[in-house]
Amino acid sequence: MQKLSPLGDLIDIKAQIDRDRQLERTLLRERDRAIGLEQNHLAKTSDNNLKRLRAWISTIREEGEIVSPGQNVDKAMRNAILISWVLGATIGYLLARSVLAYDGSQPVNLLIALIVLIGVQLVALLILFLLLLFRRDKLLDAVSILNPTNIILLVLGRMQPSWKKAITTYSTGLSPRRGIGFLPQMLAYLSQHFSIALNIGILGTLLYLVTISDLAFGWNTTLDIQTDTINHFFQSLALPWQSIVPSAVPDYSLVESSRYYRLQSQLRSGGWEANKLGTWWLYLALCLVFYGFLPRLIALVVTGIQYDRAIVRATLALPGTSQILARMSDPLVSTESQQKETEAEIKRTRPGLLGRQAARDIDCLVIEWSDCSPPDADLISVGVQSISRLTAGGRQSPAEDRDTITAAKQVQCEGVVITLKSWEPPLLEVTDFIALLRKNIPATLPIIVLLQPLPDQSVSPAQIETWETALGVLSDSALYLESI
Amino acid sequence: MTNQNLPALAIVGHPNKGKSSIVSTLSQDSSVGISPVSGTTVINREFPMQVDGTTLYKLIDTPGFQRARAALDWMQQHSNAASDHRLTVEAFVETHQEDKKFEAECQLLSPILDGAGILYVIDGSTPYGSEYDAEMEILRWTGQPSMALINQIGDGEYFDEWQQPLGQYFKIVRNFDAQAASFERQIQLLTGFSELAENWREPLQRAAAILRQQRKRQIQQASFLISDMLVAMSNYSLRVPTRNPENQEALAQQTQRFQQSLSAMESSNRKEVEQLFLYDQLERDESEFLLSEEDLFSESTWSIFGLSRDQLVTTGIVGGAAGGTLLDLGSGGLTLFLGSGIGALVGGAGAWFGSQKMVKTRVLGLPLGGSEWVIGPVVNPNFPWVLLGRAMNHLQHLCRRTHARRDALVLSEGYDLMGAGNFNLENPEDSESTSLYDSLEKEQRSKLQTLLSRISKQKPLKESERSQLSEIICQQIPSWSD
Repeated sequence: MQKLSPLGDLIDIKAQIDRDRQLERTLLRERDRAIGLEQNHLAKTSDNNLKRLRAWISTIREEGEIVSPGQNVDKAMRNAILISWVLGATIGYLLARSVLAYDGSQPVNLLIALIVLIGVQLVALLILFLLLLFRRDKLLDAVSILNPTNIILLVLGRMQPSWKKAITTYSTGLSPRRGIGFLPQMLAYLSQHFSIALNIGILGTLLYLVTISDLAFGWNTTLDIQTDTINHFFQSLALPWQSIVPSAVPDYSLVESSRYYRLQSQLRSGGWEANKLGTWWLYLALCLVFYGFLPRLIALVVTGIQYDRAIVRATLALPGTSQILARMSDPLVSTESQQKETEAEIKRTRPGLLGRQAARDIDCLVIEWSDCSPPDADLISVGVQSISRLTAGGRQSPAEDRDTITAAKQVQCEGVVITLKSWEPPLLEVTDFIALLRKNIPATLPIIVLLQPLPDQSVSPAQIETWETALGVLSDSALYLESI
Repeated sequence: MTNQNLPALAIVGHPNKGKSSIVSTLSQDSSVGISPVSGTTVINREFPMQVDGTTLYKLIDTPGFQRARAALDWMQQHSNAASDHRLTVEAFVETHQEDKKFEAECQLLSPILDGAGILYVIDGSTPYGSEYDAEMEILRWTGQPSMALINQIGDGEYFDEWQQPLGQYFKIVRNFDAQAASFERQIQLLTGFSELAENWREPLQRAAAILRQQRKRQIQQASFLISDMLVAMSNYSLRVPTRNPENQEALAQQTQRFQQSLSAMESSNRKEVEQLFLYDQLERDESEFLLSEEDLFSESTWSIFGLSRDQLVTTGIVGGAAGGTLLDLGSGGLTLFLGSGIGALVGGAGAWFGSQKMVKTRVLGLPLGGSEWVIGPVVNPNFPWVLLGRAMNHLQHLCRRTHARRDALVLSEGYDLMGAGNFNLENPEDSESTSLYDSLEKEQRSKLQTLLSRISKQKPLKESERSQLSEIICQQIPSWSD
């Protein structure tokens, strides 16, 4: 994929940040760190931040088939510059043709030529620099609508919806922080392209007219201005080149002889010294170079630098870029598991173990599991009369548990109570024991799992639910769950 | 076999005693299933701590013992002497690898036999019971370095009761509350594992340093996100085209929409900050801030070509002046530049008086302009303070939270870090609640006041000012050194 301009990259970075909001955090971290490691040759200093961001977006563009609005913007910019040049040169040509129009009846008025071809430009340049120096965003917005390059951008936007979208991105939503926009700088930069083309158009037309026709220049004014004053004005303008091209510096006699009055011209029959008046063209050409073309060239460089800086500022201030840089620089630290959580499926085959429908106390064998030994009073409180006590679990071996079951078979009772600690989880060895016990006693003989709470506490609903779930897998219709 | 130099810890114990909570906290992984029903963890799950793909240590979450006594019984029957205990455990695992009955025991013993250290977890809020003996005995038989960790799940206090039995089986016994442990406490526990094996010291120290740096970076990144949010929310305004600018009911609806947009911006920022701290699905309970009419800049205006009346008038003046200048030039200066002055006047006045008509003018069926409401930005100077207070509250809660917690993050109203609603911007000393303000150095106080004042006035924040704000936020969250 072709390399984009800093502006194109900025637009793409913004678009990618928006897309990244939909991506998983881990994937983002892995992708950006991998890119960061590839860019290890770039020191992780703030000076390199822009380079690193541009390398980042460039890699993403190369790796994926992403839609690149930055390409559209670059294309729009190239077209805007091209159109600026064509338009500027055309307007320059037309302007020069109208100002330098000469039919031999009267010389071209030098004062008008200087004011129209150079004066207006200098005033526009001054306004531009004042606006950029003392930035007033609202004024800039208002003035920018008159800027020819702004009109070019708007026309381009109308013609191509994709460009329009990209162009509107210039002025909206790039950053919540104000003061980092770059549209004024971009317009100022584009204007210089237009103006340079305008000057080239004017200069070219002047040279063309001088070459293929004879031009005569003069000056006139209604005001009471002495020749001395005008001579001083012309001499002052010629200061920059007086040592390089002395022949292009008008002398007093030329200035004096170039003054004309339109009324007088109609009365005069012999005309002026045409060849002498024609020497002014070089003076005019050098005025155009030194006061039109060169200032614009300097302005192009200055606004170009300002534009670049504005792009850099806008890119670095874009929300999300500091996170990208951090993801690229910081080691990819991962503490999470790569494996997915696998949970056992608990199958409850018998819902609802609670509550015997006992109308009276029943005589029971009590098996104390793992030293869970509630006093008789607690048992009586739940309708159980302890007629015998056995032990299981805890420090006992499985063989001793089996002995307990054998002993239990011998006890004549109305039910078997297994006392358990409610705060301990239902282990499989408990359900194993209950299942083995059931095999050794009648299927209809109630087995009551009795949960004992911690001292000064009661059994919580969560504990009951946990035990109910665990015991439910036994599918025992005579198994009950109760708590003290 | 596990690389012997790579610290690996199998988190083992009775079911439902907080093994997964410990793993969740230490690995900062909220996806670990924490269930009250025993036996939900059926297979081992590894949590490697990796730095750019290099593993520095790993934690292994294991199923709890289910038939420890039966397993120990088998081992005792197959062991001839104390010297063959480890071999007997290996034989047990080998024999019962495919046996559903001892699935949990085989799973949890496998990494230990591969060289992992043992972190035996019990719940210090419930009493010791003899059913734990078989588990601890089996673990002792493996011969691997081990540590007991007393976790605190409930309210009971049985720490002392546990010390004696644990001391019989484990050389090192530590207390650790997986739900409430500060970040630094977590790091201390991590580095404490190096007591189990001398060659673990270096990688664990390195891992601790990296985790501390990571925490610092998380807070710094969060502070940048918060700074950006303050500016974005303080600058936010809503422009809504309307045909009837006098419709107060519709305006109220749009004002509500404005408030909702601000809330959405804040909520989105919270989510981004949470993701920085590796919380992806955190449920949050936070009240919304309420704005009164006085807090908002709100006006009814109109635009043509996207220009406001002021902009249109400026454009008219500049355009008129430019046209007048051309006339001046055309006359060769005879007009004494009156043309540009008159042009500017006419252009400006034309734009001012003709704009209302232009608004209604239709070209090819489309209106040139129209009325619109402009709602916002919030003009109350306290707004950034309130936002910052709320954001700091959220950040501090996040820093204190562990990944073992599954409850919602409740951001209390009472947290008045910046004196939300009570902060007197003109005279901060008079504010009712100034905890943050008080904690700042004099120089920083004035810096913060200047920065937030700029934000509330919708002035641009330079990069250096953004960094200053971030620095002040970071200094208030010293959680990595708690």
